[in-house]
Amino acid sequence: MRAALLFFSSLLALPAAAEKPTPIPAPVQAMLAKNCLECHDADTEKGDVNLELDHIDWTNVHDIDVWLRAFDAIDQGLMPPPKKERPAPAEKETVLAFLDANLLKHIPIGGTLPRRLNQAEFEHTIRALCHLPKFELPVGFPGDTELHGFDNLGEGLVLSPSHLDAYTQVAASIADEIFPPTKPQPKPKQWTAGPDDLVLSFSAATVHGDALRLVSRSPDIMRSCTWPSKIEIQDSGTYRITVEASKFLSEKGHTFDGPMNLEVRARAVTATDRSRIDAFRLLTEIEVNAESPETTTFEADLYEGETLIFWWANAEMTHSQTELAAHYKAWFEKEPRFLAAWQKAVFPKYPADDIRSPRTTVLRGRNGWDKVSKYWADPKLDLSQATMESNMTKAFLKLANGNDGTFNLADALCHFYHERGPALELHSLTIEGPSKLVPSPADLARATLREKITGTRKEGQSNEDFARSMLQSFLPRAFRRPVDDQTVETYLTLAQRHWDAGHSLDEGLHLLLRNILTPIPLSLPAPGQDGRLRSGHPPIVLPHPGATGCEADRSRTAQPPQPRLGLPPRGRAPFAHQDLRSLHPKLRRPVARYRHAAGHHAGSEV
Amino acid sequence: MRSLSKHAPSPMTSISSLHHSKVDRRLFLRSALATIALPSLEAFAAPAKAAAKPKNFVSIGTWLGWHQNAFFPRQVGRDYEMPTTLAPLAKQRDAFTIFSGLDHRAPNGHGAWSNFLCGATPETYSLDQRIADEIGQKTRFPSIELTAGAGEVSKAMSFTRQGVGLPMIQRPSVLYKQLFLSKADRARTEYLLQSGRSSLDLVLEDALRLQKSLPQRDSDKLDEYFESFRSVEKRMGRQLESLNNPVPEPNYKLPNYDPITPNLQIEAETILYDLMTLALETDSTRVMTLFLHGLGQVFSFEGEALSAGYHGLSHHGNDPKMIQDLVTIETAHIHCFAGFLKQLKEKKNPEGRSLLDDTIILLGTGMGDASRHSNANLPTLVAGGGFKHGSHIAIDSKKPDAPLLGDLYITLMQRLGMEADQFSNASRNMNQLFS
Repeated sequence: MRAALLFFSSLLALPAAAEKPTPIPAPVQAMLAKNCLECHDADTEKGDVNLELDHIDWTNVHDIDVWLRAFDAIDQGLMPPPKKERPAPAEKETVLAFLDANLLKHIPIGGTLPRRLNQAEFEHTIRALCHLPKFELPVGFPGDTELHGFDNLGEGLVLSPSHLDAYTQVAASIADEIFPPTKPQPKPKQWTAGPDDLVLSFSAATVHGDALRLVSRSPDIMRSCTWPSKIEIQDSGTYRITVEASKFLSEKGHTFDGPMNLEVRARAVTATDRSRIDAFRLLTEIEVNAESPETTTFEADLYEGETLIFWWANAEMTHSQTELAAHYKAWFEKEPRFLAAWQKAVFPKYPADDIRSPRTTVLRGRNGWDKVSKYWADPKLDLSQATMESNMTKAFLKLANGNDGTFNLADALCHFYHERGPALELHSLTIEGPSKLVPSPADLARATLREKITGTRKEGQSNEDFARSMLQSFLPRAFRRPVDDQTVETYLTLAQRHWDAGHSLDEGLHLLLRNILTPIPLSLPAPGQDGRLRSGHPPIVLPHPGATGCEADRSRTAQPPQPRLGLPPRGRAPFAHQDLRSLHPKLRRPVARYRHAAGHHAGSEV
Repeated sequence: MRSLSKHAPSPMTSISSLHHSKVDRRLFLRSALATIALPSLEAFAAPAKAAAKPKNFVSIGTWLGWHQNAFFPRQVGRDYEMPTTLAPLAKQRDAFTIFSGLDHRAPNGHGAWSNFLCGATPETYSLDQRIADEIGQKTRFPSIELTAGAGEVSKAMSFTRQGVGLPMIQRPSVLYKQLFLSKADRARTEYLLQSGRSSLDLVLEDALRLQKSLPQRDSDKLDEYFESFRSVEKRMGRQLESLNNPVPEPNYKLPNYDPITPNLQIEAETILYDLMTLALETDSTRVMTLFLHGLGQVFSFEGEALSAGYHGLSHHGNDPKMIQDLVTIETAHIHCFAGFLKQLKEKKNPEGRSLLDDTIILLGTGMGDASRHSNANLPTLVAGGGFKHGSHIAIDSKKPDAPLLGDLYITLMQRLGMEADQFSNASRNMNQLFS
């Protein structure tokens, strides 16, 4: 290291033009000929790279660039391409040693060009640094400009205004997530919902006068439940909930002894209607005993974005693929006319003993039930197939049991219950509150996340000290290198000024986080001894947490590649460790390259 | 919306939403932290040409298709009898053209639905995004993707060049918030801009000092960075100025809830059409899509619930009662659509040209017949855009040289001033039949 630095200080005095060409030794030429020249000879010059040379001309800027890239590509295993023959390790080492020594000696640069992170790096940086493992960049995030097929070379990473804009906005949205702006104190309010304000889905619910009826205990909410369509909790808190419900029974329907158990749960308004009931938090279970409306009032915590959902847990009607056939069977055994009505509705050739082309999709909903009940009531209904032993009965039960027909038949059968009961009736719903605020699970997760980033605040610790300790631990992770006190203080100044202007602690931290995550160098370091920017200046080259240094500084840095110093190899650190499959499809092409690089560095550090 | 959309009115910005932040991922692009809807700016205006071309594109698609017998007129040409589903459009028959016999020769089934705007290969670069990439760049939102009555959130109608399905905004309040910042939003935006600016100041000072001492190559690279910073700073300045501009009072009252439960779809549609009109009027965007989803929701019209859920009805198996109820829903969609066309027709620019003439509207679906899951013969209607309308153009798809739906799309793109001669499996146009 010291040697390298000394070397540089002496080199700086040498004008480039005075340098003589360096002959390329025979073993190096041999490896290049064997592994590279198929594509990179003077004729083909694929990617504008010609390696068919017997010396390196240090006055030719283009050539220097080519050799720099060649070093990177060979060192990282990016070249030769995966399907081509690979050089033997010894051959590779020979070439790299030659290039490394001579590039270090001759190229008039001492630092990696500052660059921003590419999309994939930025995304993974945010994931790891901010403990947001599923974070994804917005779809419209501007693409990387690829240079020579590589998207992580400084020259290629142009920072256009739209890029900076996009980075800035991502940074702001992350900061919003961790240090959210304070919400105004909510005013308690009251929502009411009648039967017409509750959702009707498939055959789950129907409205009859001032009541909405539920009939099925299917765990699929869209087939059994209802929920208010115009209520969405804005503030997580404790609410007072009043539900008015009753039993619905009729002479034409079955009896229902004992209480009807009405479960009241909390659902996210945005949850898919394909959810199952057990996905939602149970708030209370109400026993409905009377046929006239009874009022139940209870208190429960509801979180932002939630509404209620109602499920009749012990309904007779089921959509279960394993139970529906038995349900029908028990009924058919008692009522052959009921059986015949269903047979006629399902089998087009009825009463002929022909079970081909059963039709159940058209029976969906009330329409299907209207047909069945019409046939059921028809005194002339033919009962010739209505025995438990007939082929048609067996075929029907097969349709009802575990086939596509299950839902169609059940959705039609639901309307028997809607019309005749037993059904559970909902009359009204009132939600009032919040009487007090409570943190939602999302709020709690946010608090944990926040503490991971800021560290725990010590008792009596001033804003300044708290922010300093956060910066001391966060900045090195963000910049992937030790961070000096000066840099910490510069950031702190920014926050301090913000607090001085009357902003809150969180607003100051928000500002800090925004800045750290944006590829804007808040304070540029003094140039190195070589007069150049030091490699990978942090805020420009953003961070890979846990790494000890910048991944960009291979051959062209003031420091020789790390392995030669006996330090752990670094390579393209983030890609050596992440799950490559997790990368977005849009990044596939670069990934193919990285995958190779990752393999090459398998087992390496950080 | 190609913008950083947040769930509003009370942002559901939770850890989980960030974890699954695909929903909000479209962003950014140029929408920026904050700009507000302003009346058309001169800088954004299309270059004046002899013959004014339409500048906007709107597409509306139904997940469950349009029942063909109630959508396609029985007669071809101008003197057709208005079909049942399109009855709400009767007074506007000169504002649109009906196409039958067109499709993309795409695979069948719900899974291939996105052939509607993508062509023969579902889930590829969609027509609206291709148009947005070309003509949408000058406006705040290159495109806006909306949905009403979403049943399953994973479905997408619009796909980027890379085949990424775009999330859709379901909440009218979110769209509204993006188009017309509230006072509180403006204050927040101003705060973010101001504080962001103060750190830029610090950077620029430091950079200027440093830059003088750097070798050329580094200096150039830094130049590039600082040009970005300066541009962002200027941009922030402009945004801050625009924050102080008077906001057009949209004079539009949203309900105090978001009609996002599926059975409020028709209500959501009505509101979204109103907001879409405002978005076009303020030149906030030039490309919009509206997806009309359908699952199990049971609609009630005038207090009467239909006999089954929307999806169930679409599998009508030619049952007359089910078809009747299905067509009732589809007619309700067209009723909302007719209101949209009417609004566009009434809005005139200073030259007296209507917003309808400035806007090509494509209404259709990726599903030809939901009862059979067939994606052939897609019901298609084009309105606005200054075309000669009023006809039913029937294509005999059995003829070997029959045009494809993609050929119509090429005509639409050309009308928008794009140099397009290919779309998916189509490489001609329909300019002879439709101009």
